[in-house]
Amino acid sequence: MKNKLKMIIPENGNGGKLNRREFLKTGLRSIALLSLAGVGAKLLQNSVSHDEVWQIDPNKCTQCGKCATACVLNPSAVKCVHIYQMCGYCNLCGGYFQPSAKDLNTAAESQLCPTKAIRRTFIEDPYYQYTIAEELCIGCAKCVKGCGSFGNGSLHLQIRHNICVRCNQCAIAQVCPSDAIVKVPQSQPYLFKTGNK
Amino acid sequence: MKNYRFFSLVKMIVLFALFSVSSLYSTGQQRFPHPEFETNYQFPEISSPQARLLLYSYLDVVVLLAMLVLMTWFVLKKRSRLAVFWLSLVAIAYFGFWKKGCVCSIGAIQNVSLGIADPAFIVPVTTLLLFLLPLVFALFFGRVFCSGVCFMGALQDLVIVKPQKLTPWLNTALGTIPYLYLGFTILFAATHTDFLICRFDPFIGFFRFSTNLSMYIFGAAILISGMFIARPYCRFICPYGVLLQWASWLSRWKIRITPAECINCHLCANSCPVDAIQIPNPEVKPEKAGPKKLLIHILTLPLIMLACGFLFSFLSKPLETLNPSVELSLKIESRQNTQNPEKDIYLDAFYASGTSKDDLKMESIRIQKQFDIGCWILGLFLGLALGIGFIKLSRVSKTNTYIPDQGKCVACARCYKYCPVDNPTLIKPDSKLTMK
Repeated sequence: MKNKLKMIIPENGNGGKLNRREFLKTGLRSIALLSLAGVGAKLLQNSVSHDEVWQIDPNKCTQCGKCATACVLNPSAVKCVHIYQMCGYCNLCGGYFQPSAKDLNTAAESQLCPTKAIRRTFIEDPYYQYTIAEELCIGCAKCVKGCGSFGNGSLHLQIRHNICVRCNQCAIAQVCPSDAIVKVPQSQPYLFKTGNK
Repeated sequence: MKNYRFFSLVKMIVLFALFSVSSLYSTGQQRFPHPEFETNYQFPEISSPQARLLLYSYLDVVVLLAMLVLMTWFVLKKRSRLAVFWLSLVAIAYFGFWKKGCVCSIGAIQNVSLGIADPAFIVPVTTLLLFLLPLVFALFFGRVFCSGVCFMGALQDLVIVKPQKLTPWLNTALGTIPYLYLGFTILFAATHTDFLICRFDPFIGFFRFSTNLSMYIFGAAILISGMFIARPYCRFICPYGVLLQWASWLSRWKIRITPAECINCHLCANSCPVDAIQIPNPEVKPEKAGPKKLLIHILTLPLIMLACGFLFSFLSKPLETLNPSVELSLKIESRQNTQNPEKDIYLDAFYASGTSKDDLKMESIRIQKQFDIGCWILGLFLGLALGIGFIKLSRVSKTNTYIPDQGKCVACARCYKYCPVDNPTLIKPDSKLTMK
């Protein structure tokens, strides 16, 4: 009977005393707890209480086009943003028109954007405003390349945090050739270009 | 003297002007002047939708803690499978669909290993807690996290239809995969190479409704096979399961199938989907743990470890080429030897970044060294796991009653309702079982 009781309540078999096995286990458990505490303490030294989110550093970006395809979401959480303060409001926009475009109009064949996500609106002679329709943008960076090569570089890519699912390891960061995907504090989640100011 | 001062002031102003002009041109992008609008045009606002609130990250930790406490209560105290089932639904809804999976406790292994290997890598407190809490709970209450707090475990538990028993050797053989996976995961994470767990996560795509085809197929394959082989990911893949298994072996409070005295009816062993319940073998004579046997174990264990370490050290050369820095460095070297190099966006980006080749070379050599040492440690670790496995297989311990293997048991609470001692309604009044 005593033997059976020991089976059922192994941690207290010998009349309240710990047996050797239980003593060993308690010891090992304490060691395990201490080592977990050690890992915690080591990491807490350079830990942060805020969260970090992924963002594209526009100065490092080389517009390779992988943002459009590598993101776990389809369409990608990367969208083009337009910094209006940097824009020249040009009639001939390198980000809007195909290099081979014959007429500067809104005809589909003259547009560079594969999803026609840039809207061109006349402001006053000779200025045009270019607006990104983010719901259409796939983050392919074709316009960013065009604007950077021929214009002021006012278009650039950013990760949109209302779409991004915050993967532990950003799938785009793993294939980005220029390590342009960086972690930024969750409270300041954008790296917008500011121009020369 | 005054004249000299004046000149130096002028010099400084000229220099400053030159500097500011040059900095204006160095960015090279402001090619067109800002338009001077005649109409009163206003710049449209640039939208910046904010990231998930920090509060929610702490809420995740609180929810995890609350669910662990509840699960412990349901499994150990209330012994209710139904409650476990409902809590696993909550876990799938909260951690899966609402939180979109990331960061999970399983994946946090990688953040923690990289955080230890590279102090520059920041591990947020919330991620650290996600890693530590389930382990601490396992040290006291067993694998209550696996039971249904882990949304991946919960999802697989839901699809169990007709679990088949696997033979012990198959269980043991497949059970070595998580050790390998854990070893490679830590090696790859600590060397900045890749996050393997995240890359090969079979279920995350279901929660995001988006992933590539191969991962959909992998996830579907695991769920379909999971109908007949219970929890295939938990048992034969999950690297965090290895850590939880170790912690669970040491757990203070254990899962007891029967609340009173076991009547050896075998009903519980049939109900266990993960083959965790040991069948009693009262006939087996306990072996003498003589000094000779102990000596053999002590001698063979290091031998197995060294052999594995030696074998795995050959893996470091092929594995290190998977590291982005090493790969880039090798690419540059091979490019120097070719006449007409092809265009490569990675090399173009590297040259544009202005990092010197020597820096990259140094970084590459450092990582190669890490791989050389890491592969040895990986081999020794696997040797230790294998050796302990062999020792456990060679020892047959006498058991009189049905008890769950603390390491394998995922605390799903299925066996409770099959225990006739727990549920007297299961036993007919004239049953012989009660007489025992």
